[in-house]
Amino acid sequence: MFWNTLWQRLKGRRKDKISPKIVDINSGKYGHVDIIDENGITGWFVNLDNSEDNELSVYINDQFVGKLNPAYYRSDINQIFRKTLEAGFWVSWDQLNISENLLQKKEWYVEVKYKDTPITGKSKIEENCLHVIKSKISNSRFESRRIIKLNKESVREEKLNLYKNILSAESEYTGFFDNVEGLTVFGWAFNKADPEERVEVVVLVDGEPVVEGMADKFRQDLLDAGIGDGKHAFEITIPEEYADGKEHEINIIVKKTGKDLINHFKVMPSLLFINNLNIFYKFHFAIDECIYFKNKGFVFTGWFYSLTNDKDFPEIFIKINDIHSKIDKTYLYGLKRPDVYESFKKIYPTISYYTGYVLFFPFKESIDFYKTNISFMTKIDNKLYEIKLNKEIIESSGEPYKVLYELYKLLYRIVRKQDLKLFFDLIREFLNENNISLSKTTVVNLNHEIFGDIPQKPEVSIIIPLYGRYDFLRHQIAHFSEDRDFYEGKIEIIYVLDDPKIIDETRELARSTYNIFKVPFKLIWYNRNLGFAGANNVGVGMANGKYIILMNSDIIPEETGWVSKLVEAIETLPDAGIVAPTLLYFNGSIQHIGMYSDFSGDIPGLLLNCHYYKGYFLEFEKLPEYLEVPMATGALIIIKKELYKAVNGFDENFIFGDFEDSDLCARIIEKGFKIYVLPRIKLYHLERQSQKLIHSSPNFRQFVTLYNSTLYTKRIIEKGLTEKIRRKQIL
Amino acid sequence: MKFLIVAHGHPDINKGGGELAAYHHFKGLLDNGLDAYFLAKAPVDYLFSGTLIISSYRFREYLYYSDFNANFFSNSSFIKEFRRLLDYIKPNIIHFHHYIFIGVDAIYAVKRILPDAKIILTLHEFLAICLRDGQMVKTNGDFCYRASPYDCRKCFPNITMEDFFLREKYIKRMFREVDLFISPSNFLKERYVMWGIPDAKIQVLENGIPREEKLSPRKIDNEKRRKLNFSYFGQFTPYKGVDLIIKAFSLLPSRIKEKVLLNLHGTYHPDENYTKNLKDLIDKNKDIVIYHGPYENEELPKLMANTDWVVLGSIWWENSPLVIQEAFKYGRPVICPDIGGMAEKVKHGYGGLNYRARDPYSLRDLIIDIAQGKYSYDEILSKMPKYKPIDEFIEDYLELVKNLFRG
Repeated sequence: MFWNTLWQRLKGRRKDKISPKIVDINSGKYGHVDIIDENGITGWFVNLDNSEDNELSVYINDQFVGKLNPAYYRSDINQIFRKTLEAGFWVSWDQLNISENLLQKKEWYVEVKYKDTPITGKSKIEENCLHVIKSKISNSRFESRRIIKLNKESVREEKLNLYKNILSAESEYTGFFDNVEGLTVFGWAFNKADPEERVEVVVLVDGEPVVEGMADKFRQDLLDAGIGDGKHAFEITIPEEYADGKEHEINIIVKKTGKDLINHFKVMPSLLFINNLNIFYKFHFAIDECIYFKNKGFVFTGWFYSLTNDKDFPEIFIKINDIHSKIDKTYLYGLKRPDVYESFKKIYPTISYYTGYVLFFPFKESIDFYKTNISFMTKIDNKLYEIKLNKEIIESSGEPYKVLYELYKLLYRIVRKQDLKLFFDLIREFLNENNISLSKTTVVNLNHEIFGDIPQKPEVSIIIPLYGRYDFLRHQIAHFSEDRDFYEGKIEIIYVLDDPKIIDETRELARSTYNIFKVPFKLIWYNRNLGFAGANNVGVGMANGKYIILMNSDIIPEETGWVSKLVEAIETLPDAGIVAPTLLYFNGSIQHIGMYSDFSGDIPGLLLNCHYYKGYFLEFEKLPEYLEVPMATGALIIIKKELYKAVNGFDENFIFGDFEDSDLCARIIEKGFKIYVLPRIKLYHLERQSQKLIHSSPNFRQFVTLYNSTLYTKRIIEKGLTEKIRRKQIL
Repeated sequence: MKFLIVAHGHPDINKGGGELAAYHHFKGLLDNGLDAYFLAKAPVDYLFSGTLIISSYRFREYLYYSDFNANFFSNSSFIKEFRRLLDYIKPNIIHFHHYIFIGVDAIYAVKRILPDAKIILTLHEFLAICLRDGQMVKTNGDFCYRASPYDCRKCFPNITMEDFFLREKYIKRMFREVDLFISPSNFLKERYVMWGIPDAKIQVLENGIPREEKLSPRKIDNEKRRKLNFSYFGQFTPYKGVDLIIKAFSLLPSRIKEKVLLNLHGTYHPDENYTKNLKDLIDKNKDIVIYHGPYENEELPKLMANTDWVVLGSIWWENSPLVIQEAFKYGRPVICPDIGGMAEKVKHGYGGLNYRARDPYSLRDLIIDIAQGKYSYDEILSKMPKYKPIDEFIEDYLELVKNLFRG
């Protein structure tokens, strides 16, 4: 009996584990457990023999605790097997059924198994990590009656044009006391006379100096606002004794001058609300910020914690001008709040990292935010309690990219990267943009001015959106003026000014440019910023050509004759839907010679666009006359107008000119057309010039890219085009 | 054949070498019985009130006003007025001595308005190549040997590489409308050829100056009391290095100081800070430096007569400084830095002597050597190069023009 058991166990051990060691990329089962930490278990598994059969079981100390299926794309795994696989898995501890028995155990030995075969990788959990996991699990199970008490913490005063006003103040020391979160005070201080100085500040609580600190931390927004090198922020923690449930006044002074920084707070640091009746009825509900987006609704951020149950958000009502609405929890999204965690961990040992929330509240009715009474109500024991909302407003228009920018500023530091996908879906639903087309719905007063005799029946219309850098018009026209193609009455040039801030300057420049070069063109403008897609759609709406060339304003030709060569190609190449030229960086290396999408980058399951041979020098004479490519960049393409209209043009749901080109290509491919690039037709594309204008922060750019990518990826997968748009050998 | 000479200033108003060269050019054509007109930039108070941008100054001479540094994009209303003038004169040759203040794309406008006319452009410095006033001296003071978006960005961190590229492309686009470039030195031509202007399109032709007789060497009244006279002629701009010359003289040992004198002729620069420092420097060294004030071109023979050596201190390359031509004409040897256009015209022993550019000690040593009689003045005088008299310039110039119409 004993031997038998031992034999069984040995057999079990000796049985080969599933490992990442690849024998054959077309068959077999491979996998690995990558990470086990306080968040959960992460890894990958593929069953190449039957991709459906991939259910895995999780065991802790040989006890079965739950099942999971790999569901994420992992670019590294896709690369190994050279195909798209849903290989990645992630399971959080609270999704697993962990018994009380296991919670008592001092050691955990975790195994992920396919059928009976374990997957290699990490298995033992560090002791301190295990502690966190256990407290998380027990915390989520703590069941009791709930009562909610609410409060507004972290009150901030309005700060419109804040940095500007502060910087123009007379004192040489300037700064702002931004916020108190828990026991930590945030802000920045700066010496205008000596931007190198790292300013020392002192925190006064109720007028008494309590703690000192240095304003030397980096903040991107400070740098963006032109405040020194951005390294002027401070984060100082007040001693715990002030977390006494009483209200304290907090001021911050510059040590050298003894003068207050602008703004001061009356707050209760680490405010603790204790219901008189029962210690278990403890809740925190904090609203840090509220942003109102015209005709869209509200976005609230803050944090919520209940000692009794921190999984369920309380039932909350929002009252706007005496109208009550219940907040729909589907718009609720949980966030990491390390600051809250740090402030409260001593008081509540079980508090988790994820107490933060974002709450989307759609509200289409148009209101004047400043004149509107807004309050929150909550129901406790069938009684409504009001939560006072201090108006912390960043009023914003409803233009999608502005919405996104505000949300980015609010959230980029606290949203988990792997959760962005889900979060973007919420935003999209909130914006209700599934059929947004600003160019059709909101553009009124389309103006235009015609310079010279533009052809009545052009063969080609060139649509060029302008944003910010209107001087590009002069450069382009100067180079067009050298090309005979532009004098033969076949080309209609349409500039679309998508930037209402510079209408006068652009018209003036257009006039003087025409006076010198006499190359006829049309300038369209309107009082909106529609973005790349919208501006092109407006332009195409005005175009008379049989073909349209969509062109960026920062492209200048390397040689003449490119328009007629593009027209010839689209007319003669088999099934040509889109034809694009080669685009070069200013030093002559490749910027674009075709494009494809790939699951790569930091976030599993998101398609990103990649350019063939980007930054390479190629010997163009040795290349064929044309190449069939998966996709082409929207920076410069030719397409039949009929076809562009048949697929409804660029989709304006994308923001900033990011994925609308690949999305358009996908729709063209779907119709059975092909995409070509002409390697011998070359133009310069000064790519960074136009992008630089939008927002200086690279983080925001990445945020937007990911936002667009979620939409794009969804569409590609729905259409089943994943294979078509992926990398193929082109040379 | 009608000529229109376009300059960035009128020598009556601005006393620069470039302005003078352009005006001599214009006058030389008239003297040859040719139909020539002159158009130059002037301050606004030279124009009749209510008149348009271009108004007449003298018969055949026009002035325009420009309140912006338009070396890039031209001004629409200027082009309008320019057009009117072109329609009135109908020149066959439009010769730009400069396009600064007008805009490089005015070249294109001219070509469009008068498609049969030929456009000639005299290159005076590296304006097209270098955004730093065309000097090809880096913002950190280093010499620059070639422009590229990567390097230019280092001088102008706020301008992107792409913008430098756009600028270059734009200027080259306009330069393709130019039928002939004239460079007064081989050095300047080489730099423009390296930048991308076809070799065959640039002809080297030294600027012409009015013919005059050589002056005899300075009279010696009393050999023992005689001091060697060194003279600087020109504007006192930072690039001209007048401060460097004074510094070299201040470093001389006192026994040499007794033997030499530095005469400064010219006008101060509008940069108050630079001028103040320069004045202080002159004041500190008044034992050997005399500031004589501005001079008219007519006074030059008299001032040259009192000069033994003409001295230059330029800290940039220079192209073909007019003062070197003037010195050759009057028979005065030139002491100048050993770089660029200066080194091309003056080679050690031929036309004068060179010292190490930007090095006041090198100039000091050279002056000591001269004062101690290490160089034979007579031998240097016997090996002076020829200058370009304006009539010879016009002759060569007309030959080039003829070829242009033939080609």
